[in-house]
Amino acid sequence: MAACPLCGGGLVSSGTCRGGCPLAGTCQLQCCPECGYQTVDESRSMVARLVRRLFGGTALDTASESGMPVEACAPQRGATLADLRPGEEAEVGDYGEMPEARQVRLAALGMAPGDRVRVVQRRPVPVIRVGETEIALGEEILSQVALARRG
Amino acid sequence: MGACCQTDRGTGVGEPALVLVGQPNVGKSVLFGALTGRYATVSNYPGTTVELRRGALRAGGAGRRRAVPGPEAPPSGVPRVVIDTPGVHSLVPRSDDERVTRDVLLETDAPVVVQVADAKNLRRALVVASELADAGVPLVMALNMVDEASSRGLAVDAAALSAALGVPVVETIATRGVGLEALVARLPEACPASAGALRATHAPPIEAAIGEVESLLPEDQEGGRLRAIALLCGDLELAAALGLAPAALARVGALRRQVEAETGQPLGFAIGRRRLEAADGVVAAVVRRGARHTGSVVGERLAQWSSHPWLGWPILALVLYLVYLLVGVFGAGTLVDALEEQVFGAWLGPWLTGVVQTWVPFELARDFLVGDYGVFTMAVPYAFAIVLPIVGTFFVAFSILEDSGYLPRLAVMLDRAFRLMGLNGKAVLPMVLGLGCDTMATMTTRILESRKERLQVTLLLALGVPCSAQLGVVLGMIAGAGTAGMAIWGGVVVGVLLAVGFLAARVLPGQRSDFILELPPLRLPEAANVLAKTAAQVEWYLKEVIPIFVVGTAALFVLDKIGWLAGLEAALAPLVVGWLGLPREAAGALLIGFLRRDYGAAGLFELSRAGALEPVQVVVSLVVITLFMPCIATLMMIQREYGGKIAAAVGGFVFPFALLVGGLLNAALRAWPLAGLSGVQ
Repeated sequence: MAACPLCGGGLVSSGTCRGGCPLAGTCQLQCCPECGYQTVDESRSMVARLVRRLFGGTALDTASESGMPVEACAPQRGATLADLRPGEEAEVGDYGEMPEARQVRLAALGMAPGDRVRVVQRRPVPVIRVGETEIALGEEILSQVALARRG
Repeated sequence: MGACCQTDRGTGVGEPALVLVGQPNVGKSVLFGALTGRYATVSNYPGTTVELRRGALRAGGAGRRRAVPGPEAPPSGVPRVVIDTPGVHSLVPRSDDERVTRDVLLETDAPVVVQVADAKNLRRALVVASELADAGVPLVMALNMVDEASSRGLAVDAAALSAALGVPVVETIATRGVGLEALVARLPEACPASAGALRATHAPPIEAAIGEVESLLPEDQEGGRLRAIALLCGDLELAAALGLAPAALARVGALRRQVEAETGQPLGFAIGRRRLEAADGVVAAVVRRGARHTGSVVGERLAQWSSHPWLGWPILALVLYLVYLLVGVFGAGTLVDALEEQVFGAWLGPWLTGVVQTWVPFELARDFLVGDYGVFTMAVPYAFAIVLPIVGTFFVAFSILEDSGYLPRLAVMLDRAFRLMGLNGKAVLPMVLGLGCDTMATMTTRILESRKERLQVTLLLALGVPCSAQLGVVLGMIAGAGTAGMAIWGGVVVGVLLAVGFLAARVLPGQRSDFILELPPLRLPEAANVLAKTAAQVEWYLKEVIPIFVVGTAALFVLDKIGWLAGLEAALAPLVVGWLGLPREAAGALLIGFLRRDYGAAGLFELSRAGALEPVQVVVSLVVITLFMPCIATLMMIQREYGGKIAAAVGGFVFPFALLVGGLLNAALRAWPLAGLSGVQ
């Protein structure tokens, strides 16, 4: 998730663009709910992902770096747990609009915003380590966990 | 189950009790066993206890291997009843089993709570402790698995922890009985942790809301703060149980929305997070970190390999092969040979026959006892000589697997395959448990979060997961059909499971739930626990199975005597001989297979040992019997969990479907004969 480059508000997926565009399912644009400004959603572009993988860069979490409040949005453009490779560590950031039941469940397992986690493995199922607890998590959950700090 | 408690009628549970509470897989069941002398299912995976178990506090209350100090040993003022509860991540419940635990806590009169805490995951335990503080119940903390914590270089200062929480803290290693006497001795000192460092204070708007909701509650309730928090977090079942007026309920909802708007976070999450912060403060003060021991490093490496993307598969194959060696080769081969041919065939059988022939005057009674379908010639040898050795060895293997902590890692390895069926890796646990007993596993489907998944797994269990007894007999018989036969049997059963699962996922309404599964560390199983568990399972099995075997045999006996058996066999001949391509006598085995798959399988085993089945027939008959309903008890369990309609639907689907698949397989194998299947018997 990144801030809207125009007004600084949150960006959401094309499905919620104003007017309910009929092409929303395959569209790669995302719209700012505040001002309606459209940008390309990188997370939906295979080429962009490939380039990131090749050059090792990560999607910038501009909002948190600039100290702006991280708004809840899906799909998110900032780095998430899904961007980490096995062995990498990070600090858990915001849970955004993850369903509350999921948030509470993760927190109960000892994984809450601010906690340090390490990715043990990615396949066949992602496994995360928090303290002395190892948790297997579905891939779809991984991508909902934003990172506050990497490494 | 959740709304079993009628608070307005006073207490639901009644007498004072010692309630064991804790996260999943922290050792509550081991502790329960040690305190009461009763066996509770103990495994190294989360979610073993799905129902309440109660027992009387044993004199001395301590480990099995200790001298018992005498009947007056439990200190006075300590409740005599011990209740083991399902593991909870939180007392603000998210699932049925968590609700069970919360209800017990709040409904029991004057409970004393023993919180079982995993010493290496103290932070999480403290979150539950903080909720217990809000519940206001007298508390003692059992700091369990201190050995594992110390092998990971974690030292917890129990005295400092006790001072911080304001409740007694006792270090224990429940599996070895360490610290249990001290625990019992300190029970009278139990007191609420409300004054301690864990009484989490929330943001002012949240505290104000909690206070207001508390004032809406009926007066005489204990644990008002916890109830208020649960209500605020949207626990509607609690609201119903408390008999809250609609106006009060509306006020609670309004408060919740107002607070969430003010704090900008879901309320449950904000409260949980504050608890974690309070826990962090305590952990920082009482836990010291040192170097890990080598043993723990090796264990961790092994644990990682067992769920590794490709190393995991050879490890899985090795595990399966070892189980096959123990159950298929040693149990179904060596032990069955010894018991059936030697003990029953050469000694016990002739002796019993002699005794009966001499002492029983009526021919009918003699026939009933030792005739073709006699109790001593069919039911008892089936149960003791064929099924018992196989089940016994399987239970040993399975207990070792359970205690080692391998099963959750298996769930990780199989997640992909289960996703094809619209399930996730979590469903692996009940399915694997079904290899032990399908009835038990049907009950364990409760750990799945959505009804769709529960129904789906129940159907798959009923259809194609062979239970230990049957699996053993299958493993024993399949040897006669060679590797090709084994591959065909396995391929067909797995294929059918995948296909039916895939279709069921599309037919049944509902959604797949999250895959969030804690992976416990790999542990070396304790021999005593493995043996106790095996013994308990064998005992249960015999109790459940022998009456059915005797009833089934009696039914066959009666059918035979009144001349209907031959008629039935003739009537079934088109199906059995024509469609399935089996010999006529197989009809009897299939008939009793309606009662229990393994009973039918034992009949087939006999036929095959007598050389009456060709390899193709072995494979076909095994596929059919594997796809039958596991046993009457499973059907009854389905009826109990889901009602008669669903049970009838499952039964009505499973039996015809099994026969359909068997017939198709028979036709296929006869149309395209396989070299590997025509060979050795």
